[in-house]
Formats: sequence, structure tokens, C-alpha cells
Amino acid sequence: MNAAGRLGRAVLALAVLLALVIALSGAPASAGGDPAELLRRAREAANEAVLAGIVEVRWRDGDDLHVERTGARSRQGTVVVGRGEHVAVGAQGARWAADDGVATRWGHVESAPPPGPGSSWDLELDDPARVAGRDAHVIIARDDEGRERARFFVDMENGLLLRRDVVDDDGTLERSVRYARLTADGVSPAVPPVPDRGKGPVVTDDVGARFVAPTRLEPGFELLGRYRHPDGTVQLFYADGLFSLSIFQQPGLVDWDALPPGGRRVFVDGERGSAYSTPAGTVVVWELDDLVVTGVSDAPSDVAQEAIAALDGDDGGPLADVVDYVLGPFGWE
Amino acid sequence: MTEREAMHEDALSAYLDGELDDAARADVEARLETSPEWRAILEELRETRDALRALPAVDPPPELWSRILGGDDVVDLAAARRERRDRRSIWKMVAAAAAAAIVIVVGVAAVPQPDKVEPAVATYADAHAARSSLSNDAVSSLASVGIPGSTR
Repeated sequence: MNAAGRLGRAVLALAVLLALVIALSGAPASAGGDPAELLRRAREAANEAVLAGIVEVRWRDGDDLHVERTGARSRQGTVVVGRGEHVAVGAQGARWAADDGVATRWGHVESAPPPGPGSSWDLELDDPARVAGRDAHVIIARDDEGRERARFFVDMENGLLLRRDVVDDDGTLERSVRYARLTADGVSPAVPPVPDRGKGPVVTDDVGARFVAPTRLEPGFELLGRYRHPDGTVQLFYADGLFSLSIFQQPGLVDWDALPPGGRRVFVDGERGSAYSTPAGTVVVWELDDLVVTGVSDAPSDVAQEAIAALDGDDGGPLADVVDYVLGPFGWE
Repeated sequence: MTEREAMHEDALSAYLDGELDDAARADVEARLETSPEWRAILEELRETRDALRALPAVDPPPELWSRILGGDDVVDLAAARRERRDRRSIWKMVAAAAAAAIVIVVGVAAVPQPDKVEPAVATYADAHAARSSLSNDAVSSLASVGIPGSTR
């Protein structure tokens, strides 16, 4: 081989090597290998998909495991969950329920983007599984101690979140939302009109001095929005990338005798509280300095309770400890 | 004894004890010279005084004073005053404590108490689910709202 031939082969080899490097470094990462990206895409997949299915919700309340099913349809950005007159609707950034124009009515809410799915949790891919007859990636979320706290099943074909399981710190299932059946044929959801009674919450930049609105709640919830409801209740919305938390605040003291039945006694930051297990998640009611605080979260219950307790923030130091110790027995702290 | 006889007896008793001045003594002696009644009274008084003086002297028993000083039926005035003072102090303290309690109760009652609130647990659960669906998967977030009677 002459010199020109060797040079040509060297140039060719270098070109191939260069092309390979570019291909490996510059090509977009496959979502199939990135659990955080899979979960990020799954946030919007239901709005973009064409589907009809049966959704099953399981939630544990003490020793009881409740199971309920309802319908779900999505087409052209409109999602309808429920049956008959009892449906919740999501359409072009708005949310409402057909039979409740106040509690669930939201307009287009501008807020900070949620944290990345892996910002507070260690994510890893597990072996694929099948949900509702469809192949799914399985993503496990682990806490700082390496314990599995949630498991997500994402459709390999369309990126849809097919199933989400949340477990307690002992590994027992707390809540699960999954498709029991799913089809993409003949979907045409009937969208009920927006109810005209009542007003929804409005965005506010300043909740007022009597309310508490930290921008972060440990172990990793970031404040995404502040809202004021028509009755004056303030709602703060937090997210940690995988789960969300709402803190509702009302001036006053809890009327413990008027709370709905089914709550179990808990202690939040050492204070009396009442906790409920609902299909939406854990609900905790407690008091903080003449404020009635109601926290709602789809996170594992211990994580939700830790974040709600973090609302108290700094305890004020040794002097506050002394005051609490002296006045605590009288309920005056 | 008539009042008059009692007056005579007092004058004669004083005469016997030497307690009268010169004029009174001269007046008594003049009565004695002219009145047999006065002389009889004087004689009785003199005999009685002589009889009393003839009685032997008697010392009181040694335990008499201790019985008097320590007896239950004898009042220790100093102790009694201290007891009254102590009782008054106790009642003063009780009254002061009662007054303080009244002030505290009235003060607490006067301070506006926060209202009792019944948080709408089910409504808040739905509101959270709806807001959460704007940042997360819509179907799994809204599923709880779409379950009849689950939270409302």
C-alpha cells in the first residue's frame, strides 16, 4: 500500500471514529433508558393521547383496602374522568367538575415549573411489566435510605402513565391508580359545560402576613403557586418532582368536634392533628399559631406529614422552647 | 343593813384603820360620845378585825400560779392577738388570690378568641387533585374526583 492509500484509510478511519463520537454524544437520549425523562413525558401524555379506559383507585385506610373504579377518556387535549353527571374535566389547562363549580374549578394557572422527577428521589428502571394489556416501563423511586416508596408504569408505546403505586415506609401499598382496561378506539368524550355557579380560586402573589408561605418544605417540596379561594382560604401548592402537596390555611382554631368521621389521631410537630386516607391522598388537619392548616398530598403518608410539619419552620429558639414548656399544658403556647 | 347603817360602818371602819383626817375623826368621836348605836357598830367592827388578824397565815399551793398561767381557761392575750393577726392575714391572702383570679378570668374573657373552624376536608382533597392535575398526569390526578361519593 502506498502512502496515499494509507493516508486515505487513516482519514476514513478518523471520519468513522468522529461520526461515532458525534452519534453517541449528540443524539438525544432514549427516553426508554432515562426514568426521569419517562416520568416527565408522562405528565403530558394523557392530554395528548386518544384513549378510553377504566381507572381503578385503591387506597388503604388502616387495615381496610378500598377499591373503586371509574371511567377515563381523552381526545384532543380534553380529559374526562368519571361517569354520568359525576365527572371531572381537564381541558386546555382548565379544570372543573360537573357537579362542583367551586372546589375543582381552575382556570389557566401560571406557575413555576415543577422540579424534575429525580430531584428528590432516586429513580431506577426495573424489569418491564404489562398493565391493562400493554407493555410498560417500570420505574422505581427510592428515598434517601434506599427504600422503595413508589413504582410507576409508563406505556412503552405512547408514554402514558398506566399505573402509579405508593407504598409506606414498610413497603405496604398505601395508594394505587391504574388502568384496568384501556383502548384507543372510538373515543369521543362528551365534555360537560363549565358550571356557572361559584367562583374558583385566584392566583395571588401575597397571601398576607397572617398566613405562612415558605418557598420550600422539607424534604423537597418547592412552592409552585399561591391561591386565594372565594371564602378567603389560602391554598399553597408544592411539588417535589414526583408528588404534590397543597396546604390550605384558614384563620382560627380547629373545631375538632365538627371534623368528618374517620380521622385518626396524629401528632404534627408535637401538636394534635387528625389524618384521613382518601383516594386523593393523605389529608392532615392541625393548628399552627391560630391557623387551621389542612394538608393534602399524594406522597407517602410519612413524607406528606413531614412536609406539612415543616410549615412550622424555625421554632424560635430556646426562648420559644421555654414558653412552650411553661404554657403548653394550658394550651396557650 | 340600811343605807344609813352602811354609811356609819364605812366611817367607823375608816376610823379604826386610821384613814380619816382630823376633822372627820373629830366628827366620828363626837358621834360615838352621843350615840350608843355608833358605839355598838364600832365594837362589832373592832371584834371582827381582831378575829381576822388572829387567823393563821396560809401560803398558796406551789402549783397555783402554774395552773393559772397554763390553764386552758386562761387566755394568753399575746397568743390570741397573734392568732387573730394570722387569721386576718390568711383571709387577706385568700381575698387577694380571688381578686387576682377574677382579674385573670375577666382579662382572658375580654381577649378576642379565634373562631372555631371546620375545614372542608373533602372539598380540599378535590381542590388539590384538580390543581395537581395541571402539573401532573391528568387522569391519575383527577381519578379521585371522578369517584362518586369518595370524598364528597
